[in-house]
Amino acid sequence: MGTDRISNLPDCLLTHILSFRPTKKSVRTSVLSKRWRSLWLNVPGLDLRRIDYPPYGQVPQGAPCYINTYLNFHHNNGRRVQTFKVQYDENSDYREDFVGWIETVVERGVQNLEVDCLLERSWRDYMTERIYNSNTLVSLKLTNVGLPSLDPAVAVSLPCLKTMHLEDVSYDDDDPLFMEKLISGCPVLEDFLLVLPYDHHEGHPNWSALRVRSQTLKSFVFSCDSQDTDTVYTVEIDAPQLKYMNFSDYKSDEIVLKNLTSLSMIEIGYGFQSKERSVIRNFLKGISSVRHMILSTSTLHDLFEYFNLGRIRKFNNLTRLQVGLHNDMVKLFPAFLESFPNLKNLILDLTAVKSETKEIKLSSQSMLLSLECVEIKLKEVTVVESVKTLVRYFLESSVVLKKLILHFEDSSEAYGVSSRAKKAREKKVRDKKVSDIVNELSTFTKLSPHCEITMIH
Amino acid sequence: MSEGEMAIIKPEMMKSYIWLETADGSIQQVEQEVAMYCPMICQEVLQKGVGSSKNYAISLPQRVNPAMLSLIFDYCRFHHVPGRSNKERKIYDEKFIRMDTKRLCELTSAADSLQLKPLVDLTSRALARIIEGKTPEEIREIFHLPDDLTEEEKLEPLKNTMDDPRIRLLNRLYAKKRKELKEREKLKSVEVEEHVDERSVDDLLSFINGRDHKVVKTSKSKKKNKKRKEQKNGTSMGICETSEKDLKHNLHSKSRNAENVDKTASSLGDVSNLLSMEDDIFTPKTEFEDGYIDDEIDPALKEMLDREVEDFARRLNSSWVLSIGQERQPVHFSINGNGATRRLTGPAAGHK
Repeated sequence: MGTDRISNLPDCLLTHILSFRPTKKSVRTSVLSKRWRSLWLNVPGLDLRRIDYPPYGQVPQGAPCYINTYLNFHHNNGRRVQTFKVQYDENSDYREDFVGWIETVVERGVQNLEVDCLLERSWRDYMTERIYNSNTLVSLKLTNVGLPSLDPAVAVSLPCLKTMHLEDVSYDDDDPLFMEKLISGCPVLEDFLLVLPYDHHEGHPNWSALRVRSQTLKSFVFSCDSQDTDTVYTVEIDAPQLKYMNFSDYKSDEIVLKNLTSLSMIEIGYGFQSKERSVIRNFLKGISSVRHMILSTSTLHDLFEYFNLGRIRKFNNLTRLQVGLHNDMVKLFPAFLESFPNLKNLILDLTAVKSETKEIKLSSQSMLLSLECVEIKLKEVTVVESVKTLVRYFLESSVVLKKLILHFEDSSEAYGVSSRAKKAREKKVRDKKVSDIVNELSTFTKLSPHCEITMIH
Repeated sequence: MSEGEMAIIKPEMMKSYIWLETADGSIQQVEQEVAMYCPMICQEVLQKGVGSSKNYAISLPQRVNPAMLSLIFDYCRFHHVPGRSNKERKIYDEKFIRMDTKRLCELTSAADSLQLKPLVDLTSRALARIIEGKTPEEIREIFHLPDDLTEEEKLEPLKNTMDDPRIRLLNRLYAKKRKELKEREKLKSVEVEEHVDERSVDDLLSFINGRDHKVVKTSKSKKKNKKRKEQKNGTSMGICETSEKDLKHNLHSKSRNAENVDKTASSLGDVSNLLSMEDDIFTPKTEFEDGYIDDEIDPALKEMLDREVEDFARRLNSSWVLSIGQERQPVHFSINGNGATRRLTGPAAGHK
């Protein structure tokens, strides 16, 4: 009856559609019709992530080794496998073959390689050394695998590599300059992610410094869970093109930031505990040109501890700030805001603020000359005293405030199967609460007459 | 809206419009900045100078009908504005994509012919989601695909298994060789004298030369620093007896080993005729056992391994290449005592 709709699309589009599915699923389309028989072979890469695990001890019936078919098809037709993404653990089909396949595709010029090896540490697979000399690799993302030692006679050469993500990787190499050599072998590196495992420093006591020097690096994410205190660890970052940095680190004793003139956005994850005040001061100086800052609650907490009233240096370029606060931090917050004289957008996460009976006195009542928009995230549809005080402060002190948004995280809806009537009742209750809050807030004096108060729930 | 009306309504805002003609002959005009968001239109305007008036309307490819064109321009109208946040764009896209499958296919086709890649990706993803989780019958129904494969053809992918074990073996050879060479490197730096019997090397050689494998212990090499390097065990070449014996002798002796043994033994036992046949054929040879303990032989041994692997690979490849062009048939291999491979059945029987 109906005409064949999808067949109007050319083969390349059908293949394009298949490229959005894991390879295992797209292989199945080979039984659809004559035309679909080998469309899956033309997908430019293999996505073998989330391979279903067969039940223990059982070989899945009729599980063909399509991976070999695919690799051979491409090899015999002189085509490169562009992408190879794989995720496996000891129960996966072909678990033994992955290392060989990875070596094969690296040899044959793969562009995007992603390996996520969910094996136990001691069993993990090691990548081929060829990975250090690929002329075609553009993106390399390794999780939970091993990287072999560098051959001292052969320099790392990855002329096309733009993205490198190394998460929980084991490094065979004991050379403290390993990471430096690796980075210097990537002349066009733009996106570097490094997550060091918690026992990294135990295993590499010689690695006393991490030096990230790149003329092209635009994004750097660094995370180190290690809380080892036996070794001293320095992190040095020299990247004039760096726009985004995410720094979440317990370990480093010394952080040296150089030439971060392009830095636009910074996220600080774990806080500054156990670091010297001078280290923190230098860090803040290094990021002083930043425009958008995201601080975790623990980071802010530490700043309040280290600096009187949280008065850190002035960040004149900063226009967006995103932070989370605990109860005892609410009153200190206004003084902290004085460090950002040109702040326009503020996002506050106050979901952790609990109700307190006593009134709080804010640390500062200075005017907020540039603040245009404040968004506050709250847990339930209630506004506790401390939050009210803060909101009152914003409304009374912001000269040009345009929007104040209260965003209620509604957890009550998440609890599944209530009846429609019950849901309707709950909604009514919530709506009433919201309108109560609106009424109350509208009684606060507003310095900026055009300010709009919105509730999202 | 005719040009005359436009002039009356917006005298100051002299927006330029681009004129487009679809395959059915109807002509539309669209604001320039919206139309220029499509690379194909942009190219036509800049390179050929068309589109500025009704008479010189840009001819659009056949796959673009007026309904799709208007949808595409809705999309362009939203997205060409630079100030929108990623979140806004995403929300718009999710709403935009809600349409029936037929229109989705038409839209994909139209967007592709106008080279509007972001929209092609968006619609392709949506179509991919539609295919997800559906049985072949369901998919055929949704897209009205002809069910034109024979039953045999539908089962085809299963038959391919017969060819694959060769490649798998080759993969394993590669992996083993590398691991074994790596171990050798590590051993050079170990101060403590350890008896190095490499099961993997042995297996390698025995497979190539068709001899029996000795039971060897896998070694753990330690470096001066605290990091322990543990050789991965359990990678068998599908030869059940070997794996069991070797793993039992493994220095690690974790319970995990036992699990792996059982798993590999049972799973590999089922896989294919090919592998079980090879089991029967190995005969013992003892030439190379002690060689690798002596460091001096390393480079020589390395070379020999290289040569043998390449030789084996060549042999595999030559017969593999031949079989590609033929009808797919189960192909059995056996390795006789001399290490040569021989095809037992198949159209090219007798050819090596």
